[in-house]
Amino acid sequence: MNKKAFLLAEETIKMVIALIALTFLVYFLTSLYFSNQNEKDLGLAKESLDFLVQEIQSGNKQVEIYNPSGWTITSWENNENMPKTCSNFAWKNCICICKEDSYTRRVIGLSEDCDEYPACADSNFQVSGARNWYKKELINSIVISKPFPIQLNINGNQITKNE
Amino acid sequence: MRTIKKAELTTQQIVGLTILIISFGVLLFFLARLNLQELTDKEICHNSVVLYDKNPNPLKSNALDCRTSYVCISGGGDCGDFSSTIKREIKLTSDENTNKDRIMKQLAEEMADCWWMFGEGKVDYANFEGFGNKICAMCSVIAFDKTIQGKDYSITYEEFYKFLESTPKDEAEFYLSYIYNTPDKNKIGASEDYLSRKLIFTEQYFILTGMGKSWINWGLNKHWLPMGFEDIFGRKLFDQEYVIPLTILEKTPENFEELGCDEFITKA
Repeated sequence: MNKKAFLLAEETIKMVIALIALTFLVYFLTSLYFSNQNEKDLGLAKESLDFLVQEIQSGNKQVEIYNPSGWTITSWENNENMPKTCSNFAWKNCICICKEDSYTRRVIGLSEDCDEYPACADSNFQVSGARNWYKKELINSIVISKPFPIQLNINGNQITKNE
Repeated sequence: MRTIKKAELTTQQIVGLTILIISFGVLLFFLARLNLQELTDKEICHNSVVLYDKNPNPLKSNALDCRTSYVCISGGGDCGDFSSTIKREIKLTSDENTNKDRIMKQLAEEMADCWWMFGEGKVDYANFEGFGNKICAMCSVIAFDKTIQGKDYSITYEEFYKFLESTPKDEAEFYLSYIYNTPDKNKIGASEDYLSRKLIFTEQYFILTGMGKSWINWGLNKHWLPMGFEDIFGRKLFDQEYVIPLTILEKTPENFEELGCDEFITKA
């Protein structure tokens, strides 16, 4: 019997198993990290949305939003394609701060992203903004991005970004 | 004569109840005066900052829980459109200097609280994901009420930092020593441009600190020479973490741009 060949096969199997285990471990740790990060950002999103609604109700014409970085302020009206977070409460209009996943948004729409980490409120105010990204125009959205803080203008029931 | 025992008991009860209600009212009054909500928010923030630093987990699973305070410094009126979470009343007099001192005292308190909440420059609460990041903590946004706005004077930064230099925070130290770790306002590392500014009561101001990680010192804002190690040429060492000294600036987009914060860690 060729012992060398047998050992080689054994070692290979061990290495493959170790590699698979390592891949799972890395995947698990990465997921844990991002899930934790998203939870932190969701906390910030809820606070920012509360602040925005409160400032609008106080009649302020300008509001600064500081975080979470990379998330999107968006709105829906007349119950159309709303995230479940809003439609479950039978809100007619809805304003949210959501973590935008480019893949999900292109395939399913932003409402799906808003359901994953929901920070939404019932509000008649509509976000007005347009941008081209991946050749698909996304209206009614403002990205919280540098330079911070972003300045929002409140005009009538429209929320626009002060560029 | 027949005594109505029940009536006697009712009188006793009424007196007892009245005393109870008055005592409760007095208790409530003092509790409200203590402003425990504000204290709790600041305590929560400080604890979360310290816990974050002490967390041995490299993923830092615990989040900071710090809120921006919206402070209205009032001479009796309200701050109009500014929705404040804290109102600080000061008694205005006919003397300009006394009024200025009282306003500066409130600002100094806010600054000292901010410095304490974020670990007095000794605690690492930043989780840098890349190079050259700057993480900012917006402790307070400050506005003044119509009464103070109506005053025809302002406070220069020179005056304010002189006040911090000469006013004791407690029995142990002065505000300036506590916040900037030096008893001399000329040694705090602030630029001339920063110290030549004015506190104008019609404007809003923010108090900010934070942490940064720099490649070299070129990336830092022009207001401060950051604390930390330097090489023989006075340049920051690579990947040097530094503390953004406590800064008070007018709330304008230009000032935010100058600060160049990559992220805000405080809740709105």
